[in-house]
Amino acid sequence: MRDTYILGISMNRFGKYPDSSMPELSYGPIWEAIRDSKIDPHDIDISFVGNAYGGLITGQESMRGQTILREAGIFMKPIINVENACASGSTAFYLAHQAVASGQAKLALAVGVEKLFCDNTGKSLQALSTSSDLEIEGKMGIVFAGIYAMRLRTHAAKYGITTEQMAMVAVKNHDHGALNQHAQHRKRFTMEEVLASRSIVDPITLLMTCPLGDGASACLIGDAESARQMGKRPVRISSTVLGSFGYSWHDSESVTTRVAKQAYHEAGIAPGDIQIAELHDAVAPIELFLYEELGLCEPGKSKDLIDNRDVWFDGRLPINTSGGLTAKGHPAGATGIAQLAEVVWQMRGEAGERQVHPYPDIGMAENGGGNVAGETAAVAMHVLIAE
Amino acid sequence: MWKPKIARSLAGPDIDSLHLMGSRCGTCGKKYFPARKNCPHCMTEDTIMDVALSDAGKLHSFVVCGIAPPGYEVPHVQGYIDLDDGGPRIFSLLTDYNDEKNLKVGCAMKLTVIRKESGTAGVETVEYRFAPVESKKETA
Repeated sequence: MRDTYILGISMNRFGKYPDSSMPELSYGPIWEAIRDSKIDPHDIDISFVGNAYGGLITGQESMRGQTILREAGIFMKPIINVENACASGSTAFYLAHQAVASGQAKLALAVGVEKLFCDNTGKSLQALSTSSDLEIEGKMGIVFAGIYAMRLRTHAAKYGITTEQMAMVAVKNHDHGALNQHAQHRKRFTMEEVLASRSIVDPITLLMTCPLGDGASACLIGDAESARQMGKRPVRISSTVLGSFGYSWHDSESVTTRVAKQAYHEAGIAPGDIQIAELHDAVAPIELFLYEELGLCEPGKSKDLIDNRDVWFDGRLPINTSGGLTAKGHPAGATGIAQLAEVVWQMRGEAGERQVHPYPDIGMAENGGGNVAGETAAVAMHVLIAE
Repeated sequence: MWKPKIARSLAGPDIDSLHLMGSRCGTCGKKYFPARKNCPHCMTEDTIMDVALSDAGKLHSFVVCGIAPPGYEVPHVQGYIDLDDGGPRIFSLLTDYNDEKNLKVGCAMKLTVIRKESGTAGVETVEYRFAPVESKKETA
């Protein structure tokens, strides 16, 4: 396997685009990623297009990638359609990395796109609910926000985490979103406002959840030679790991912890080496749980990271400087590559008002999706190292 | 006639005496719900067998949801139950708790089977729920 690099990466501002189709949403990020990478787009050997719910929302099935790349003007070479719940984008990235690492391709394109808004919110929510096993848990009346709530409640009871500390995670992510021109929500909120917003499922309130959204992201992956020619700070994909649910016996390791351990091992780093992270905060306070699952702090210590403001963009361990899913938005298939865009921009010093100093050298992104047998169905984690 | 809403989740001689159905691996001892064809831990069909799981357990975690999927009522109460006799932790909707205060982490829970029209004449659909063993009504 050879080293792979992110040559160019881009996303549009997530939000509501009633007049844009998925191919139209994707056009800008794809061409911005190409221009960012300084490659000749004729040299793209293979493309992977991640999307989760487009078939259910728009009716376009079986070859959405081809319709998206038709608009972009990228023809003839292999186009692979990738679907893996809310981890579809990072799965496309994983495959693009594999194509270059194995030597199959010199240059691979990964695209993530989602269009969740349609003229019927019920239809959008119904589409999202299909990321469970409809033969089993789907027939049990499972509510996703409730699954997150139960994880939080159990964890909070064990370690004495308060609802105020949970709300502060949302405050942080909205603080970051206010500084990010790509974020769907760009407004700050106080802890009191977060707690006073409508209760969704105790202890989760509306301002702790991520909005419905449309958006796209794209990334070009190449070898070391292409990275040297690109002219910007080279960012190497040090490891990219994809894992799936396990049958969880009472105290067995979660899929997220398993994937993280493998990603750190393959990258040859320890969790303590991480200088910046984008995490899958489908509800803001689940970040606290993730810090611990990912080994970013000791069990029970996640609340200290919030209390000490370590995880703000000007703190010791900046997390979700993009605003996370909470503020940046979560057009499912677009999320994985958008997370990587934030890490790359921070490493290159292109993050504007929310820029971390000094520019981070070692970063990670974690993206999850779906629910099977009580576990997250798919989890992807990537470690990036800037040279 | 009756049919479980979730395949291989309930079994019994007649609709009035149904129990939870699962599988147990004779080699590793792990239990699964609902019943399945193989043991994914040992990766073999040879040692898996259908077993009756305990109809009693302890509430591991729960949440009262103000939102519900289509066809379900609000409040929508879901939880995880650790079944007795080394059973697996299973997801269930909770019912017959009368007052939310009767739901406490660790409290004793018992199986309740609910029956619904299946849409086919002479066939009822059966689903499982869990209820607290102690479910006193609020007396003010």
